[in-house]
Amino acid sequence: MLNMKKTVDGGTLTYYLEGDLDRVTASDFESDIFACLADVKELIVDLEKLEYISSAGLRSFVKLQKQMDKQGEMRLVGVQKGVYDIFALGGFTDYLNIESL
Amino acid sequence: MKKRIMTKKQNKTFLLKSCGVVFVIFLLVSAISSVYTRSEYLKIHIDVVKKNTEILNRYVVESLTDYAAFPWLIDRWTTNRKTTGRFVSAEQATGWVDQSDLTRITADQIEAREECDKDAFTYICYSRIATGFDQTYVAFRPKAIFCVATVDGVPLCLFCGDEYSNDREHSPNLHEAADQIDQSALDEIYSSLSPDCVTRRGDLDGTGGEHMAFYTPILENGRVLCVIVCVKDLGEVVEDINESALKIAVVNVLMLFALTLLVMAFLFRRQKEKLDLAAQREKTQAEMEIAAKIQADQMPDPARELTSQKEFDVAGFIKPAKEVGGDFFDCFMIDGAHIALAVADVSDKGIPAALFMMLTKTLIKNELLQGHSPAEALNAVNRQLTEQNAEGMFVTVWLAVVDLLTGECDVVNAGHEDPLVRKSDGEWEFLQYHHHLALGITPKTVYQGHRRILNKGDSVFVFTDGVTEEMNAARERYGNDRLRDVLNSCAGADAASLVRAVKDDVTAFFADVEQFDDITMLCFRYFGSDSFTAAARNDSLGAVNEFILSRAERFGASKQERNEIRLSVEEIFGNIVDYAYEDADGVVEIDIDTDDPRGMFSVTFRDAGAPFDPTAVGAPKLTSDTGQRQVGGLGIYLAKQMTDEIVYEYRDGKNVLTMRKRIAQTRS
Repeated sequence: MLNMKKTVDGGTLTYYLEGDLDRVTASDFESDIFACLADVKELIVDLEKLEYISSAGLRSFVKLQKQMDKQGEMRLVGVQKGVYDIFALGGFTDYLNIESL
Repeated sequence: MKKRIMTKKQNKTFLLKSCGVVFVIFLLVSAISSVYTRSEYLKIHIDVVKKNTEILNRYVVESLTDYAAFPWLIDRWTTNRKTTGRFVSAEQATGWVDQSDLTRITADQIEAREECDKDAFTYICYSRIATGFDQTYVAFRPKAIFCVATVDGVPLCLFCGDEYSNDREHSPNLHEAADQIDQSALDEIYSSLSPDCVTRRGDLDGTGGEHMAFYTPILENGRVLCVIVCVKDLGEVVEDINESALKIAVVNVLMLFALTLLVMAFLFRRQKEKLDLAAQREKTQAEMEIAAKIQADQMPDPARELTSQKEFDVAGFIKPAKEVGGDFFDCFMIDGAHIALAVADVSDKGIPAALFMMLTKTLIKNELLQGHSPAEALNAVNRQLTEQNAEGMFVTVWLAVVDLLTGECDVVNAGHEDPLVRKSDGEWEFLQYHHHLALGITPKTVYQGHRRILNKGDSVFVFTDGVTEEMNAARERYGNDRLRDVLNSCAGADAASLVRAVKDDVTAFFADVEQFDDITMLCFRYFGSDSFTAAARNDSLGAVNEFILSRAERFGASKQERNEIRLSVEEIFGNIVDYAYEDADGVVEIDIDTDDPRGMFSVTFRDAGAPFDPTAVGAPKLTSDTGQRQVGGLGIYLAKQMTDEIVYEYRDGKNVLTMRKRIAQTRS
């Protein structure tokens, strides 16, 4: 289950994810967030309530990062330890801007 | 013992025959009685005729013996007859006689007179007496009335009553009268010299009729002067009496026959009613047996119907008190992963309870098959039952739906007996929890289910109060304790054996009484499901996770460990979804093993896709440019990190991938 919320403040989009990001919810996430990226210079993805992530989720963030590299920048904030460990295992902690909780 | 009842046809024949016999008997009785009646009537009539005629004769006798000189006259007439051939002569009657008092003239007086006076006297007396006879004849209308004297042994008719008074001496009646004389009667009179009347009966003149003749003598000094004979024709009277008797006979017969018919009709009716009743009873019995069979067919035979027995073992038993009963049990698969269990007891017994029971059973099954929970089902069914329940019937229900994959049980109790449960390797104990009201009492009842988890090896035993509440001949109740003890005596047996053990014990306990209430029991043992077959598609992931993680939790995995298992499962399963099959129809068989001797939680994935060993893919290069990482390797890499072991083999045409994870604090 994945709940998605967003707030826009000028060119900053703050995107809140709550629940689990697996291969099933990842495609919903991608469709939703990519539709909101027009004119976004700063993308903040709040993962405070994200409990779980799998390789599908990691791939989604890679895609996002690639896109935001063209527009501005992306930060992942409030990442829980368990989720952070997955990012780390995958070697993404350098490639992505991740701020753990 | 059954009384031999004749068929309708035999009955009819029998009755007709008896009718005939009775008719013949009545005919005979009637004939005899009418013959008797006839003879009695005839006797009476003849008595009357006799009395009247005797009186008439006596009257005639008296009127003749009134003449003081009667004996003298008789002699004179008969002498005249002998000498002249005539009784009297008108020409000779020239003398004079005082006619005012002929009867007083004595023989001496007349003897003292002249011959011509004697002639005159003789003639006048004869005329008078002859006239008297005529008058008597006309007045009384006998067949004949005459006076006979015997002269020289030959009967001679002196007078004869006649309508015509012309030449009396030569009147045909005189001759006829003579013909009618019965000599034996005269002989009787002459020999007995009794003044009594002598009678003769028969066809006296040979004309074929029936007559009766009365002979009354006139005696004088011990000799018979003459005999008055009166003949009566009985013919007409006899005919009338015969006709009468016949009429009586016919009426008798008809009335008696009508009575017979009435009695027979009544008996026939009664017999017919008896036959109809017997036939009706047989028909009802046959219908009841069919109803009982229909009911019994409705009860599921788990051994036959529920083929998936890997996850569970179920057995039921039901015995109605009458042909049809008010209890039921039901067990059926709602879908591939859920089984429904129900036990119910309708208030009352017999046909009304049976109908109510069938209705309830069908409604509950319908609701569950539509996907409603047990509580929702009972709410809906309760509303329907209370809507049209003028009889005020109600039904207690125990209803559960078990998720065979997870062992989760959703249970509702509507006023039903607490069931017994047994944890694997434990003892059977009563499980007490909240009871709602029975169904059918009020639509206001709100049913709520409550969740329990069945672990591998857990069992439940549900029953109706026909088992525990009834008393045997010694007025002992079977009771809950005894039931529990029986179950515990064969605690680990399979469901069928447990049910049989209780059934046998109940039968033994109630051996000497008639079963009063319906007896029902259902036993369900859960083995857990350690296998799951999923379609190789992303939308199976949720069920796959549910299946595996619930077992992991039961196994004792912590939240963290479960998350790690989850990730590993997703990556392995996801790999198969993405690459194993070309089309969308492939399946993945998942098996869990919690009995690994090393205490590891183990999950095996089997697919029939192209042989591929994901473990052979090397670890992704972490330091290379992430944008070009080998996609496939990441997933398996993560899975390996999350588990202690991932092993691959290709066996029996299938890719077999097993992941193992040691759990820190396993639960036994």
